[in-house]
Amino acid sequence: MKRLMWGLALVLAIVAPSPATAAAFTGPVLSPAEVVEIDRSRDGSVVTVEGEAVGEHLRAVGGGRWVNLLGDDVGLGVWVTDEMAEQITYFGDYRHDGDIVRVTGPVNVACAVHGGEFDVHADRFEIVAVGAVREHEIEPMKGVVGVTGIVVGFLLWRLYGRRRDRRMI
Amino acid sequence: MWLRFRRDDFMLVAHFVGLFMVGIGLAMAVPLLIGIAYREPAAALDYLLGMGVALTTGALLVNAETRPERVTHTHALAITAFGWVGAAAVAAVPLAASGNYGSYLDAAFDAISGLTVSGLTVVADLDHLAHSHNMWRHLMQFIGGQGIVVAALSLAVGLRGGAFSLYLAEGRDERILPNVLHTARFIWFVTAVYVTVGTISFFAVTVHLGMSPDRGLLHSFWLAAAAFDTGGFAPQRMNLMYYHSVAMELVALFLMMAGSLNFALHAHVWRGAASELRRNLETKVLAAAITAMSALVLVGLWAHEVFTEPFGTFRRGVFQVISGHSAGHQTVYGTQLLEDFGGAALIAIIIGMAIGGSLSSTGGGIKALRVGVIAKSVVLQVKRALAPASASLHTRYHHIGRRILTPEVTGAAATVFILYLVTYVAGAVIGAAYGHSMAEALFESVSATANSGLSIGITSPSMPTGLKLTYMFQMWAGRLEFIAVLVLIAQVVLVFDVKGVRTT
Repeated sequence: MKRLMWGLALVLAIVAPSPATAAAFTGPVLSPAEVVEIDRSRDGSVVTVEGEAVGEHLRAVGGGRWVNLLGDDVGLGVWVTDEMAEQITYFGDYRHDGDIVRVTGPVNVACAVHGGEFDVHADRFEIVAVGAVREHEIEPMKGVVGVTGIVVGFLLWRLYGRRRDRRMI
Repeated sequence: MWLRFRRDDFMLVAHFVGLFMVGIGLAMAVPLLIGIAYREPAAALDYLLGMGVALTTGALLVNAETRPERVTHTHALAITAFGWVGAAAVAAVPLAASGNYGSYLDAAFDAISGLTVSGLTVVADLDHLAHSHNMWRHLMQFIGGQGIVVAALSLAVGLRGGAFSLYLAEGRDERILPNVLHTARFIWFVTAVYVTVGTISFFAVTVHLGMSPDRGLLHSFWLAAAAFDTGGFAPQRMNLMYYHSVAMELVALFLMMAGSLNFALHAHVWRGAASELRRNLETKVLAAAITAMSALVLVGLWAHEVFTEPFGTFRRGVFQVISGHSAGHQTVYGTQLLEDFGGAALIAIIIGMAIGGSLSSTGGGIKALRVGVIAKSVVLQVKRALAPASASLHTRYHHIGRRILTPEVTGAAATVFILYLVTYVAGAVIGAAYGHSMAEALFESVSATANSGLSIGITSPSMPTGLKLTYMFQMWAGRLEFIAVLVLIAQVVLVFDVKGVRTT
């Protein structure tokens, strides 16, 4: 009997779904754009998605945070725990390239927990690359042309006023 | 008799187009200041450049005519049609210089889309766009929602001659107050009230979500302006999906619905005559259309079995219907509209976009009052067919007072209705010719012409140039309700073909 119980326990450990599902997942790493276009038959299945964290992390209803990942110019909402969100150093914006984040978890085309959102619930979370400060090249010539244009425009406006007063046309 | 423009007529048109360009140039001071305040020197220089180009070009054109008082109705139509093109041409300059657009054409696409409050966008890497550029994109919707003519009128900038003709030429059908300048100022007053209320409401939500106050405030103003002006731009690629917030969507819904109501109706409610809201044919048609299309979307979604949870289904479905009628903010991806909504829901959203909002609102599309007038006319024709030959039947409708449905009113409504339908279909055929399915092509074509801004995924930076030009034309023609554009085309044709034409 004892041997039978051990045998059952072993079988269950192999076949039963467990929280380790995401940890054991070794599927391809998808971009947010690929996840959004995923075959709908895979709704609810575990995926790994990698993208740049942008904006900021936002409070989620019912606990946890939302992190939006960007890839191939498509954004994807990922639900993460508070601890996961705190690991992100940079979020992408005008001044920063955001951290590249890799998340593994179930994808939901219409999440029943989050009011029909298209989302991924992160079971596993890792920072693949830390972001950086973005540099923007300043082109002084734009300013020179602009200021010249403003001055010329002002003079032309004054010219119009004078011509109008004198009814030159 | 055709009235062919002569040189001095074109000079007169150029003068006013120049005025609009100067106005756009001066408005660029706002993003310039934002660029300075947020220490974005590279982006701020784009606005210095834009101001220089706009003010020089504009002031040069202003000098074309020094006696701008003699504006006729035909002039007004040409001024408006050219004016929107001229304004968009200079508004695109700082965007083109930003590096976030593949070409000047792409920047012009967003400028047309912004000013016509369409909301389709081909910007690249939106999530890394400078605050100043986002301010400009949304400010264009703020200006365009009311109309650039209304903006100029409200500031009383040199448009006194032919002011009412110019006001009508911009696709507005009603003088809300006896004086057209007061009307223009009232439109801005209503807008300011709603955008302020919207900004405060959005700001409260963004703070709750955990956004920093300064970023939250900017996002709030941008979204409030885009929602009330039925624009649809947003500062993040995910549009309203970025916030994952029902509260954000509710505020947007309130503003979009308010923005799609007639400013004359706002005036009546403002004066205490709230009963006009439920008696007006326009609001009745709008309410009926939203209810019917929402029901169709919900049935379609449930039948498609992707959205199974009731709240999520209602939230996603109804929002897209109201958004289709007005601003075009998205809470689902374009691919979802095609894959997860199903045919019935997709058709319902297309019909919603095609109908659009109210006359003299910030919304586009055929307009609810025209649909109501045509429906009443159909009923009248049926009644006449059934009545004795000696019977004289008339019908009335309520729109800011009781009115008799005359053949002229029906004819005008039917003309615009047909022009919209032809443009919807023509754009769809062009989209299909570029290899898109008819459903996708029709969706995007209706969205562009009705200035809705929902996208099923066709509109992108990599879209073919021909399709970009098609949608730009549709957004422009749809915003001006075709007549001004047709007058412009006729004048251009007349310049080259003078046979059998009597000149002024």
